[in-house]
Amino acid sequence: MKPYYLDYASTTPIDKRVLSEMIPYLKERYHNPSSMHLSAIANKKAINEAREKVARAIGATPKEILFTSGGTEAINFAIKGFALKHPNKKVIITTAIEHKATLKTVAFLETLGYQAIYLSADKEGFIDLEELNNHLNEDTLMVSIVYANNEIGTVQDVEAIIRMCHEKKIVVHLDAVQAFGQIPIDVKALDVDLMTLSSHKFYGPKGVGALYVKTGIELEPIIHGGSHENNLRAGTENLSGIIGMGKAAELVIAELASIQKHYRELQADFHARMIETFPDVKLIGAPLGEKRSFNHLSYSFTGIKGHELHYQLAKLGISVSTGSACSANEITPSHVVQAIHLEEERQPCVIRITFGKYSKLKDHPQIIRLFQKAITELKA
Amino acid sequence: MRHQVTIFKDNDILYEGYLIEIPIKEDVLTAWSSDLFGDPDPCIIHQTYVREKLIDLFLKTFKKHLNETIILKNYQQEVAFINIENIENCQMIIRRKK
Repeated sequence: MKPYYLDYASTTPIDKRVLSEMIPYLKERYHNPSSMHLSAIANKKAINEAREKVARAIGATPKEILFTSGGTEAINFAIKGFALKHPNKKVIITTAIEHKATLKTVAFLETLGYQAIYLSADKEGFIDLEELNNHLNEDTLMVSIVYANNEIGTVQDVEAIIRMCHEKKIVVHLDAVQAFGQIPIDVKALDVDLMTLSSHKFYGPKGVGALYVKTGIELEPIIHGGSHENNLRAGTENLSGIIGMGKAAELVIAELASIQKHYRELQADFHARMIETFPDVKLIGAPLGEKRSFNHLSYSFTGIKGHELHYQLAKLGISVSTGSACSANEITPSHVVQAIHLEEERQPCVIRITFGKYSKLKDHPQIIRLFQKAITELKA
Repeated sequence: MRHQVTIFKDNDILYEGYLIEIPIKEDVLTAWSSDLFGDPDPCIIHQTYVREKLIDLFLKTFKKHLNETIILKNYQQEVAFINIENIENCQMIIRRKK
């Protein structure tokens, strides 16, 4: 059975060129970058070179990049770190369609006395800028927004959001985990204050991420210990991971134009085949175009359940994701699917298909045939 | 996968409904979850996956006997995961949803 991987938004396979840069740091170049002998100093230099590569990829300066254990830690660091450093303001504005890393972090801060405002999203997953503007005031601590939504692919108008917040001197954190690697991002042009990246979403290793912290933005450390990462994030560095993330960032930016072109072709072709083959299918999130992630399609079907379709597809070698979540002891539609007010009969079956640089256009006819087979089996 | 199943003993129906919703013994779910996910305390999504896997295997055995009365005494091992008392003394009919 030939496998078809269509779950690149969950994670990407590591690029071979990234892996080969990492391997020496898992073998002979194992020295602790904080030590002061020659091999250790060389490793410290390698970390700072990786930092430069990540910084260059988003138009930042190296000292504005802090390495973390991944996107979730970077989001926690951005929100908790800023909140704890600025306890005089208590209102955090975010959206109902954020990743759980943001929602749970904000919920935790609510237990400490902070107040959260969750902006609603429309049927395509866009927030209402007027609603945001109405909530911004002198009590607002910060705004945290997902740039490109992981479940429905919607790309927010982040330029307008940042402009609006900065008019009222309010700091903005962008969760750019899904956006980086398919949308060119220049943090200086955007003027964003904090931004999260995750290596394994752009063909780098898992277990490493980065937080961009604009010069002048102050954070309280949330992990205490040694003086690593400019005294802001303690713990011996994930050396090989950081080297890998640096290389992955360098490669994805160098190849961004061709990646974008490839994703757009895959997305347009697959979508055309889906709507032709399945009359009852509905695209969830923003329509295809600049306001949707180029590698992202999510569909709802009627009359079947997402986890059942997921299982049937897996049996046929197709890897996708569902818009379902564990809630107590039942499988429920995800918080994003519920927040965009998808019709109730469509909520139980949402499937996310995400392409990557190793996806092949020529596989689409066979993938569609396998979708047909899975759905026929379920509806029989 | 939309198969319906009726499990009965004498004139008493002990289970009637979708095959995918058949009662499964807790210890079987735990054992399969440990085997598949290395997790003896699975979340509902993992439990559902185990359930689908078990039903898949079950259907493979009985596919050629759709709409027939199956004497479960002859399939004690295959039905041992079902959480119905004395399942081996029951009879079963599997139908495809109309």
